Amino acid sequence: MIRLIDDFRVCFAYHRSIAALSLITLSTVFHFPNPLNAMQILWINIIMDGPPAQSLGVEPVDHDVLKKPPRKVTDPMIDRRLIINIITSAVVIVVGTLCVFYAEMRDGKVTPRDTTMTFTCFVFFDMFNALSCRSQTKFIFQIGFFSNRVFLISVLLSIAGQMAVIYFPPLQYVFQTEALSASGNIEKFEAILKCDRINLEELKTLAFNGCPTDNGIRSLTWKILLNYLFIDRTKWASYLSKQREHYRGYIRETIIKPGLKSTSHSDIVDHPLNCAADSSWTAYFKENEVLLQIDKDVRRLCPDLCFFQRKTDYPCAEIMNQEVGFESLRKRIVSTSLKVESQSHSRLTGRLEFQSNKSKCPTIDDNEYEVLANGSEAHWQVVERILFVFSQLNSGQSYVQGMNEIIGPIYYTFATDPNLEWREHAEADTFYCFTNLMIHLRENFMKVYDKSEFGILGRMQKFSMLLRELDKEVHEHFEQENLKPEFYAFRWLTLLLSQEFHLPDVLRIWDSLFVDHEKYLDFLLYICCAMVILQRDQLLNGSQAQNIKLLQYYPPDTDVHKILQKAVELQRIHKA
Amino acid sequence: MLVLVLGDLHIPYRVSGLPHEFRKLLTPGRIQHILCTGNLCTKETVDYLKTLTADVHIVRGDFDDNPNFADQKVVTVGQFRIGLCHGHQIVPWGDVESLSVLQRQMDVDILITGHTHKFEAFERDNKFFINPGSATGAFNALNSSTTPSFVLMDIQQASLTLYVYQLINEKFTVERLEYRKA
Repeated sequence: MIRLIDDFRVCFAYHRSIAALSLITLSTVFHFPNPLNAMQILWINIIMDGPPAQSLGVEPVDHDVLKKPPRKVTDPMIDRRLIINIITSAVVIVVGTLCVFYAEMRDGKVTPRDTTMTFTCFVFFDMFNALSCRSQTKFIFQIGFFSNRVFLISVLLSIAGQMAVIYFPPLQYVFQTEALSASGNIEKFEAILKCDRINLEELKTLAFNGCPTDNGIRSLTWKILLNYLFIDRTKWASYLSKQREHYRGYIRETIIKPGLKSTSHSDIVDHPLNCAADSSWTAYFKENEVLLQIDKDVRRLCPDLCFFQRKTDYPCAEIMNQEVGFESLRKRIVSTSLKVESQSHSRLTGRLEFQSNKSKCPTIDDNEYEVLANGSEAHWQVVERILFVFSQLNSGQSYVQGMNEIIGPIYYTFATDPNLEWREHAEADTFYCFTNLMIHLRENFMKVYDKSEFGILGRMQKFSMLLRELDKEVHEHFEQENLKPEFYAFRWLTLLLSQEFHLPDVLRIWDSLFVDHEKYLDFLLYICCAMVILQRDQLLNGSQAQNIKLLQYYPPDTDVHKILQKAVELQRIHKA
Repeated sequence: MLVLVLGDLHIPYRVSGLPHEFRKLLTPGRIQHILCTGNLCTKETVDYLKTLTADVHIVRGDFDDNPNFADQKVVTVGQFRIGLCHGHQIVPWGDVESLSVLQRQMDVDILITGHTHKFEAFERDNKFFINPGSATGAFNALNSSTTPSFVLMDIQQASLTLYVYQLINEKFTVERLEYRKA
């Protein structure tokens, strides 16, 4: 009997099904995250079962079949050779797909990019498999690549369909895929950052879509975007060492204790109880008031991250040397009670009694946080020092509560840089970048500017106007309910949304914000409008109390990418 | 760290209160600890000291109303061990050798005593001895006119700066002394 149905489709279908099944099974059994989601598996079945499989059936007749000896009727359709064939193909497909999946899973999270890569890889494996299934015995080149036109057309259509699924936004949403680019994001960034003259425009465009979290790319990009590093890479080394020296100078200037300045040998001794305005001790105690506020705020920085309570690998050298005159800033303001051993003559027994209060009064703060060994510093102490130096050098602005929330993410990014050389100087770099950023933000923090157009009230007005232009209905609803922007937008605008979302999302938002931070952070207004507009259904139907609650406790699990996409859309609509 | 050292006030038995200039100087918020050599004598004075700072350490003097203060105290500030004792237990009063004996007994770097109502600060055998005198200028058994004085210590790890405040002719003067631990 001549086998006309030379089991093309059978073997092809078996290959694909077994490959897909074993892929999912292996992932589940070994507790790996699932490389393909349900929609993607269905899609594979549709486009594979459809055109390519059907077209295999119209494969032109292979005249060599007639030359083969006849087969026995009793021979099974699925013989050993076929089974081995199927299993080999399936194993190759599964292993290949899992390798790709693993390579993409470096960051440990299943992102749309990982699943898209796996999905596309699987589809192309399948296509190739279909090609190889055209003949059991001959190479494709012997049969002729173009001999089965229907097959070729169906494969091309399937590939086109796959491209559509990856690159067409509505389908991206359905299949939860992401556009793949020729080179990964990280490679693109590194290519730009490696050049001697960095292309700022290109970097800005890339950064706007989010910096990758590995390789310290974000920390370097922020330093460039915040005007700390020039685009001319060759000048960095000398510039950085100079700036860092300056910073150490600032520390020495501002934190030195008054009493230890070399005595001027004048008749009038400056003493600690001096209330005169020109006394350095008076200045010292005034600084302590500012320091107290900074200390309170910095202690509570990012309470859900233990990063700030951990000790830093690069404590300030002057303080750790316990050089006379420099003491940890905290000691200046914390009130402690001394360890006392007392000895008294007991009136009752006539004997000497010793008492010590070492166990009786442990200082309160030691209990709450891990007690660090002498000579080590926690990250929050570093931030405290940066803020203190900043407030001393900008006495017009001083320190206002809220600045700690802005410096927190910046310091976090620089201090978690995988490149140790950058990490070592995170303190100095943070200081300069924070100063540069504050140049644009300072109007928000100064009472003097409150009523002016540039102050925080002016910005909230701008936000309100923008909301009215973009979504009149919501704006009117707010007016009716007397829901003024002061109730919710104040914190959004002053703190750059650092309090509304989890830290990774805040970092992502700030990637986009720092791109145009010189234009008074206009994009921030669009983001705030996007946040409001995305919740418009709930807001339009809610009462005033519910709306205030929703806006003040904006759901932190909202997908930040959606908000940013919406903000870009709004900006485009508004500018048009 | 600022530590105020004073004693022998004898309020209200011998003097009615602190001199006006001293009261003006002593404002809350600047001083972190107070070491008092004793003879305050009443609770009102203790309360006044507590308004200046929360951390007040007092030793018992021979005229104190409260018998429950300790006789001697050893306080650790920075790297210094500071001993506090009123001084009426040491005979002869204010004798340098006897003070040295007490210092060795207590094993302290700085010994603060009072009772003589006379300011003194000297170094002996690499150890420092301070007597803040009487902050109110109260009379003594051996001396009927004393200069009001008290001492403010600024302690940084291993170095000590002493500011001596004395009231001479209705005006206060400030002197500065330094001491470093060997």
